[in-house]
Amino acid sequence: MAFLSEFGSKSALWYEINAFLTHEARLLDERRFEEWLELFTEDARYRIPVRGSGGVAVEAADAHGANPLAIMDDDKPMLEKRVARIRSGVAWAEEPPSVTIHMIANVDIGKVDEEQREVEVRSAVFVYRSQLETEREFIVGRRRDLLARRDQKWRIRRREVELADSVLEMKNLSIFL
Amino acid sequence: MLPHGMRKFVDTERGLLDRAIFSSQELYELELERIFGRCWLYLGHESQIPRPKDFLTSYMGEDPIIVWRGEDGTVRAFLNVCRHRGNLLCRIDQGKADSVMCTYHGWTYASDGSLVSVPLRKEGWAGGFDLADWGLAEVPRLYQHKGLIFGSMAQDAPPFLDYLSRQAAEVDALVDRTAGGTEVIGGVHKWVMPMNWKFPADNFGGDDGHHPTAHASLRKVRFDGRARYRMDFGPPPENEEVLADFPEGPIRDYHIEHLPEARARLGKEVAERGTVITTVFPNFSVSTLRNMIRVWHPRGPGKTEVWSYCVVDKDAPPEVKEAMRLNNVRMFGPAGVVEQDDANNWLGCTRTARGWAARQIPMKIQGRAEAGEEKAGPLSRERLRVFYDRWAALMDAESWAGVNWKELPVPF
Repeated sequence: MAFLSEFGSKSALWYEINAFLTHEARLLDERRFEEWLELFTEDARYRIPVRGSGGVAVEAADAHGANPLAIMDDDKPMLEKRVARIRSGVAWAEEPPSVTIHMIANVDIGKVDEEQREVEVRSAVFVYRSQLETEREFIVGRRRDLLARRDQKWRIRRREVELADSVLEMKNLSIFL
Repeated sequence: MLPHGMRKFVDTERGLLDRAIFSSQELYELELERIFGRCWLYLGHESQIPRPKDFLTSYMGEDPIIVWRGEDGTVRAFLNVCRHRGNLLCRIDQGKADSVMCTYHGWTYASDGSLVSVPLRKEGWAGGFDLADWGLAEVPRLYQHKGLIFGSMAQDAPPFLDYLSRQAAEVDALVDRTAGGTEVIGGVHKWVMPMNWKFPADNFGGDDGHHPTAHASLRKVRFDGRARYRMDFGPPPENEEVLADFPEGPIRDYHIEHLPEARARLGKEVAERGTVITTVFPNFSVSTLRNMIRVWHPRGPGKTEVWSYCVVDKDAPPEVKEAMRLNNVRMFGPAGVVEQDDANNWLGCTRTARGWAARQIPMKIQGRAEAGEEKAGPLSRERLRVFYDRWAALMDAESWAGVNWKELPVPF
């Protein structure tokens, strides 16, 4: 109980994690991407698999004996390159920048690993995005995060976003979920 | 009715296009008939349906299609439309089924397209009817080219290989580098963009000229591990390191190792060109650099549904396949850092084509006259001209008999 006891109770842990996810959403919405990157462990994995119309492609892909195709499948160096690109001044997808509002709900704490000091967290993510004059899009999914407690701070070690849609009604995904 | 003579819209001699071809609903309807109802269109990859009774669903233009491997192993394609009242028959993208039942009145079809059962046929239909007359409508022409499944709705379409002509070498640069053939890595990127289908199709078909500007961030941040960036995807300059266009590491090493085999299969020029990015008219594109197949499904003059696949050599080692998958996913697709920047450009071109004043002035590609005597080659501006030559020739003709396909320039 050493790890959980730091927070006193599971509800206190739930409150902490809500605060963390809200803070993360704010960093994204305020385009503080360098600070956002610091939230990830060095071995982090960030994945958004494609979804088939008959189910999630992760399941279907077993039949293919290969990793499924993904919309994003990044390690931390790739996430850093994405941010460097956005800052390059010539990343036209984000010129002018998208305005985003990340809404995180249905936060649910799963397995707590006392030894690794890690917590599985599920949540719903709804991102509203507006760009140019009238382009309004939204994207919705379920996040499955593995959050790690490191040096008294929360870090994201794994994020997988299971999208609701099999065909995205989006011109591109130049934002983070 | 539109006046005949599509040359009014497409002047490839002077390299001028009328923006109406990107905004007119009337021209779009004609495209569904004369381009998508007529040309060879990509339906899927054999590796998606390896076993008898495996199926996938796809599109030809706006028509939903089911591609089904029969119990006998034969691949057939049908309109994915119940013959009774026209309900969409199969609703999922890929799977295995002995039969598919329409959820409206229960008409049920087998994997060879035959109608096998109709509830209340004797009781509900005066005199009944013969099931044999009401099987699924089959796509009349089908051709399997090295794992790729193509279909045409036109009985009189030229044979597939005549249709491809010399461009077959460019398609083979992706699917025939090694003896083992290719496979699709599970899943397909699908997304809808508010753009006319011809902008991305002509872009992949030969608009190399957009790279330095549209993809400037690639050169600045160098996020794809390539040693060299060129202005175009033609033959590499003399004395250049071999296959320098490919990302350093497992992908380039793999291609260098298999270059002798690729040379033997594809010929020296195509094998050594490395990056082949092209469009087979009208809406099928490939990129060897990203192990990618792309289909631009039209959804109206101002809307396109994009389908993107990752295709790798079946016999490649797992770490090479994984490197290819990541290169595909991270660079292209909805979140790909290269492709992201194309969206606003294609959307912008589509949007301004609706304006009345803009439609009074033509847009520009390089004309034949400006190009002098140069033959159609891999360089962009010539290939754009070839794309629109084909568009005009097909749109002008009542049937394939009126299209002198063999006399049209080949984009390679």
